[in-house]
Amino acid sequence: MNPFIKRYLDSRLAVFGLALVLIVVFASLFGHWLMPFDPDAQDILQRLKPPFWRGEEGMHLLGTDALGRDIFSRLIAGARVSLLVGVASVVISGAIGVTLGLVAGYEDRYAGRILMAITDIQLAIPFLVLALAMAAVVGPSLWNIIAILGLTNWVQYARVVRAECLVLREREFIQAAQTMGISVPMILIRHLLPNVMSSVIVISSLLVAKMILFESSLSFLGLGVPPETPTWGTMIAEGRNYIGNAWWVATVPGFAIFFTVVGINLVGDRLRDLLDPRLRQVES
Amino acid sequence: MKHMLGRSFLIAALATTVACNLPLFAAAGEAGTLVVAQPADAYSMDPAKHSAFPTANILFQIYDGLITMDEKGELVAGLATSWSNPDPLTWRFKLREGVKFHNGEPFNAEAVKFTFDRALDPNFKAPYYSRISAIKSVEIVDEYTVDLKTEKPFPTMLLSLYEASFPALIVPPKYTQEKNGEALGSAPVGTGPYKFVKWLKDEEVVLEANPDYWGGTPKIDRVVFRPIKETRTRIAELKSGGADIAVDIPPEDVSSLQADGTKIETVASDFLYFLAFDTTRDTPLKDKRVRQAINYAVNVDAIQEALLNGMGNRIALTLPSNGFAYNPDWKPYPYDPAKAKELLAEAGYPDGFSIPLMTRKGRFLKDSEIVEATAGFLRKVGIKAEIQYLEPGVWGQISEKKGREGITFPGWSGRDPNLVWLPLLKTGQYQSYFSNAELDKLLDEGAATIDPAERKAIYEKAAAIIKDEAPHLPMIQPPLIYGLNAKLNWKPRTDSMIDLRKASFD
Amino acid sequence: MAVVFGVSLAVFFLIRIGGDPSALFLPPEASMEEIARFRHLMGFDRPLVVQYFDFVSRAVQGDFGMSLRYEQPAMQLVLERVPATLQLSGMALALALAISIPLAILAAAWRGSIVDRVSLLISLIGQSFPAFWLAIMLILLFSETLHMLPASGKGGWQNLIMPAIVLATYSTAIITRLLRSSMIEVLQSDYIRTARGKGVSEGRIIFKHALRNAAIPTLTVIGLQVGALLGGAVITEEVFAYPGIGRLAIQAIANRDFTVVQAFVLVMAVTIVTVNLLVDLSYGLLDPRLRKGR
Repeated sequence: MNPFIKRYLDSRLAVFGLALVLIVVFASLFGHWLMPFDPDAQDILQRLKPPFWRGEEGMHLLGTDALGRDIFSRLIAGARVSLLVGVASVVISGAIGVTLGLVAGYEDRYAGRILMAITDIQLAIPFLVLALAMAAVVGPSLWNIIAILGLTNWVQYARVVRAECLVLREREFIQAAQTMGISVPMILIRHLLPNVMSSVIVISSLLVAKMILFESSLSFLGLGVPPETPTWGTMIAEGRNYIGNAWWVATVPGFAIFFTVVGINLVGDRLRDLLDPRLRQVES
Repeated sequence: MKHMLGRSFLIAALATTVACNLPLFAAAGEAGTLVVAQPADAYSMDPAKHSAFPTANILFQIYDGLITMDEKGELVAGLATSWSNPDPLTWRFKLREGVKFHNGEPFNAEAVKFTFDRALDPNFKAPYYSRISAIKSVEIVDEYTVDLKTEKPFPTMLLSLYEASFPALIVPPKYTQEKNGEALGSAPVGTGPYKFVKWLKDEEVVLEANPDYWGGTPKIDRVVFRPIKETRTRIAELKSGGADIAVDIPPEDVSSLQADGTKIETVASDFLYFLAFDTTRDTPLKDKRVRQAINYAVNVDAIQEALLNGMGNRIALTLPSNGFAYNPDWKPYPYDPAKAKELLAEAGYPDGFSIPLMTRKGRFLKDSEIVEATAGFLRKVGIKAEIQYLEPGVWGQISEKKGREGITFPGWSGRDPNLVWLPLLKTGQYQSYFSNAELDKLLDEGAATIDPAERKAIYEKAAAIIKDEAPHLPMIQPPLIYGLNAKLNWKPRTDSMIDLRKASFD
Repeated sequence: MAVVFGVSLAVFFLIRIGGDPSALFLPPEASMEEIARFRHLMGFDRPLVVQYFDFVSRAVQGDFGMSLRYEQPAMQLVLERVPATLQLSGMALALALAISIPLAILAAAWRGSIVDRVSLLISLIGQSFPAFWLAIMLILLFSETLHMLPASGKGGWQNLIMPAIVLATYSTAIITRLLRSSMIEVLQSDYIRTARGKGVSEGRIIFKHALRNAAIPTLTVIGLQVGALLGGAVITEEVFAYPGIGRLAIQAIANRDFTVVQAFVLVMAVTIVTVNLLVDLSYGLLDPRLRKGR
């Protein structure tokens, strides 16, 4: 077996985390075969039924929501969207942050200073306020939310990548590349990028978890992904008013988020331990 | 998980010691203090300077209007005792004598003239200017008589003078002009049953009884308004004794709250839930048969039963049942999906079509659930309504650019066809997405007629056209649901204004 | 200073992209002409650039404009709420530190023990909860069911307990994890081994040497957490109806109360920049070697 995988599997917690993540990935890839019901099919006469409710068309494993939709099916449909939000927004913020970090780390006189000033400005506006303002302006749709999350969470990449580049560019192989006349973009992509990849992977894995939580916060404030594409965040936000008499409506997606985030964090922590011990000190 | 439990036990233990040692909930119910928990705080203490109902709820305890509404929803005497129309362009009001503002200033014709002159000054920037802008001038006849002059006959004058037309609450002339007119906004003075004590923003507004109130000293000494946005938090405060009136209780919670010993008061509001169809653009909605089909396709009764616990009123046309000219014989389209499909096929859409459905979310009771349930019914006859939730600011922008395409769920209120049908259905009106020459003529006639019987006849004709043309899918007057301290006696009003003049504890 | 200026520029244009609030202020039946008239009165029909220069030239004189909703100076409205939010986030930070510091020290000292596992679990669970979810659960338990704590408002310190717990959860998790791993790293370092070899007592090693060195990265994170706490206060204040600046900001954004949003963001930016500056300065106090470096 690949020694890396072997070392990963040494930690029981990390295996548990990986299992949780794989379940969610499986659900989002093969969801439509798993769903017992159409996640959007309503039946308001069978609304707010408890888990294991036997309806006319079969068992509602996790009950039904305020419009009589099957929560289990929506949970599976939501897995795909929640994961998409998490991964796609991380890809966006990773692309922005890594690019800025590479440039700022390689050339720290003008570009570097300007980029770091932008970073400070971004850091000085609380994320939620910025995201709320943007969501209020562009309106909440799935891709808008993804873009907003991506555009407001790249700072950590930029900082870490820049710090690593500042060290790397003094190393011989970079110096050599410079004297050989290799163009700057080439140096950045061919030589610096591969060396910061392990940090980027670790940050990304932990950030996916945070993005899923952020999406649920935006939903809670009424500016999340609109409901025809069910995300877990929207499900909690809409179900919270029924907590008094139908606890499962908001609790089930709540636990889905909780266990997914726990799983991703466990995987991310293990990757950090294995790939990049230095990063232990980086706040996630 | 075990460890987490351990931690919460620790917190619970800590919390128990707190609860035993300190009188935590002294505020509500005791010593004649009434706490009202509503979703938002006041924006200003100046009645002409705001545009929000939560603010109006507070100000209505401090100020009075010339006209007020009784428990049955009838418009009755407030600071005016009687009124008449010497001619179609004049409304003459006799004013109540011997009334004083909280600071001792006398209430008289001058105060009425000052109030309206101030709010009608365009540079004053009163947000609800348009509610009273039909009044062209206020003339003092004698100390206790005023004439309100209009340019055109203005049949809905009384509705424009009661509390829900915010700038119509009467303010004291001398005090209002102090400090460049800024005094009123932070330390209000009115003629109302409660005097202002303090306002901690986003925390509480405290009022105390006015012993000299012209309508009799209020029975409760102190009133506190607290802004609590989150529904669960309001319910928690109600159940733990931190609030005596909690506004906007979800229908689902009614039975469990009642079982718990909480009193529930509910009334069908003047508000209107309906779908509006854009007939100005080239979409299937241009076809009358399609609009009728939608009316047949949605089981509004089932929606009302399931989502609102059967509370509220089913409406036949977009007019509340307590509205002027409302006729109880009006009947909505019945639920008949087969007929709907038939009409769609006739119109050339046997397989249905896709259409956007624009709405806002969390603005009105159960709005998003009702819209989604409606879309569910439309799906069953082949119409795919693509729901778009717009943030209120964006909604405003779109409305302004006349960009409400497809189906919308706008929400509206008004107790007179002139306040509902004219703005929503007359050709070219800002909020109108419909045009019918015959209807336009009737609506103009209704707007220019003062005699109630004549107006009724006009609107009866208009109603027939609206029913047949189906520019809307009329749905429900949603209920207003309040959770009350079991010892509190208080009745809600259909316009959602909270009137504490007659509230009392057992 | 440049940062604060950049923030103001970014926010000024960002919040105006979506249009002005004229239609939000007026009654639903207001006509086009009425809206246009109101827009002109409020000055929203001027070009954005003109509005921006107007804003900046007033702002440098300390005038941040009037709130559109409240008709009061925007900066005053924001500053009025600052104490409440400071109290809440201060309590949350204190709570987070009170739990995380001892926990992390014990976990690092007895690596692999029960305490260590508890610390790992707490930091894992703490950062995996949606905050609003926890808030609603606490209200359901302690206010609605047990009637032990007030669900909302700002009266006594009892009102602070639940919001502070919610706000502290995430920070506790982050700080515990970070301080623990920094401590472990320091404890394995050469100079601690040397100290042990010289027979310095274990307690002295942990508190005098290890903690001091581990404090530096932790402090950076605490600095960042202050920003996170102030941001997190938005949700917490909303659920617990706590009259702080977070709630003001949400309402101002929803109402398009531009001046208040601007004043709020400026106050936040200044606070966060100042806190990070203080954190930077305190590195020097903790570790003389760093005085020249950074």
